[in-house]
Amino acid sequence: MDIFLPIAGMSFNFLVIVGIGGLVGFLSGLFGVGGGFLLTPLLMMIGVPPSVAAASDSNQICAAATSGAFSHWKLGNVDLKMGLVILIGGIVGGTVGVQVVKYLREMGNFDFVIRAVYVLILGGVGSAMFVESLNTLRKSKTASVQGGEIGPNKLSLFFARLPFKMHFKRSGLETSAIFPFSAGFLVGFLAALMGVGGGFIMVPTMIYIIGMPTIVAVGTDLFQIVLTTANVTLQQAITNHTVDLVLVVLLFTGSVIGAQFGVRASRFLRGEQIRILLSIIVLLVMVKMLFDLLVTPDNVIGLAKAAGGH
Amino acid sequence: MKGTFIKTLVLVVVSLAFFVSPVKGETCFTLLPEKKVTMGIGFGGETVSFKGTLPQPGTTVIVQVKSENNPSLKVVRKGRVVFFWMSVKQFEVSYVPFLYKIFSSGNLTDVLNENLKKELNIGYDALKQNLRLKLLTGKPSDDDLNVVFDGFLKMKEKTGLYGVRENAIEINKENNSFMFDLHFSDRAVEGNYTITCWAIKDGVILGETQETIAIEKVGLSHWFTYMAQHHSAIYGIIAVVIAIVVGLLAGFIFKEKGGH
Repeated sequence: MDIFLPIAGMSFNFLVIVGIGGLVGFLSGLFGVGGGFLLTPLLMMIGVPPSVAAASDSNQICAAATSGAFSHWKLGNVDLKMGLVILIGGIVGGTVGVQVVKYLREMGNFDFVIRAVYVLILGGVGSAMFVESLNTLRKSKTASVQGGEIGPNKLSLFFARLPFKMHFKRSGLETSAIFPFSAGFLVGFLAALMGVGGGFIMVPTMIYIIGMPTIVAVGTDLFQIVLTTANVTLQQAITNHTVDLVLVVLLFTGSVIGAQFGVRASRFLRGEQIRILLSIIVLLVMVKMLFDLLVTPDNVIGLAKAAGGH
Repeated sequence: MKGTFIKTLVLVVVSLAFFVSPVKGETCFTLLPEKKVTMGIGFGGETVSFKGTLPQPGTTVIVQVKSENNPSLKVVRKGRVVFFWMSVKQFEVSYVPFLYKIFSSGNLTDVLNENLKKELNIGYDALKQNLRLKLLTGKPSDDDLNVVFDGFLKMKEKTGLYGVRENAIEINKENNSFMFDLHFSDRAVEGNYTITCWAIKDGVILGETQETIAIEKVGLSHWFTYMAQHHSAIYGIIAVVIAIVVGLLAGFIFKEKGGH
């Protein structure tokens, strides 16, 4: 059965959209990641205009992160003060990002920029994850890996010395607000540009650079994701008119169902095996994006602004 | 005086009847079954059937479908920069229809002589002549018009918005009638579309008919588009509220513990 996406201005068999949502939800449940970085490229691959894919993906992530954020909030895992500092950065970054998207669409180069940024970020994250999990896999054969919290490191001590110091009670930290704000800005900017939640950047940043406890980092990340993506959704709707609610609802339906199967499947795999599998998927998507940038296109003429906006 | 005026008026009316070209020939086609295509949430393109009767045996029928609302659009020309393909020029393309299709019962080259081509102003060549190209960014080059027009056609044909299909209409020789299906792709937009039908024999137009069909978004599809374009802030707030409510609801249903 076909379903018409009124903002994208095209129709698809609804099973295709729910299926993509389901696939990303499955991977999300399996790997414990947001999946926004896979969803936008997949939507682009089936022909959804990049601007609609990214904006609708932000809205879908807002829905997907809500229940997790609420659960962590109830469990007291959200550092509200830290979350608000990151959120202010996220709102500023998201607002700037939406204006950049508008400018790039006017220039007709949004398609190129989104693919290039995906290649860089997926390439970096995928490679780092692949190498790290490969090393862990090797080490685990000889010795058991030590778990537990990451202690203060040189980087977190350096950032703690910067101005605008604040005390973050829930995280048990006294550090500068500059870095959390900057990280929030970057994630908000990427949310607007790529339609990602940014958990793959924010969680390691909070743990390794800011020095937050892991569980508080996860809870605070989900809290800021909900509000940052809500801001990006609103800004995209107002500035670029590219949020397709029909697409969002179908994707979310698929992702919720897929996630249940993903969580069950994750019980059959070890942590490092899961990470190595995820890194391969991330690198494959990156290669496809890179291929699209390098290979002579079928048609050298394209619309400057596909769908949405006046 | 009054009588002279009436005589003059009658003379003018009779003269006009001779000089203004009449609607040519007999009925060429009739539209079936409705003059409206609705784009609801389940729209995946729609096919409208037409039927008609030709005035004489051995007549060729040509049908042209053209959108009435044809705003200018911006297109980009991609080029290789270092290793990567990206937009290097931007153009504004105007005076070309958003949707353009031609169907015929014979080969167009056999049916249309040069005079008829000029008179009817149909086909891709006519579109290319009408097209106006304005360079917005980048450096001009001699091949811009050809490259843009060819790429534009390719883009439109790929999305089912343009097409020339010769020998696509079958004529029933027993009763000189024809029937064909016109498919509106899912990429069509709201507005009126003019369908012109010509019956041609030996280089002479025997009949011409014109009909208009409207495409309209209805129901949720109309509401979403209207809200997104005209009340974008409210639409954005609705999108966020729906996301949060649906997200919480799903969390309660599946009792999921976390993860995003």
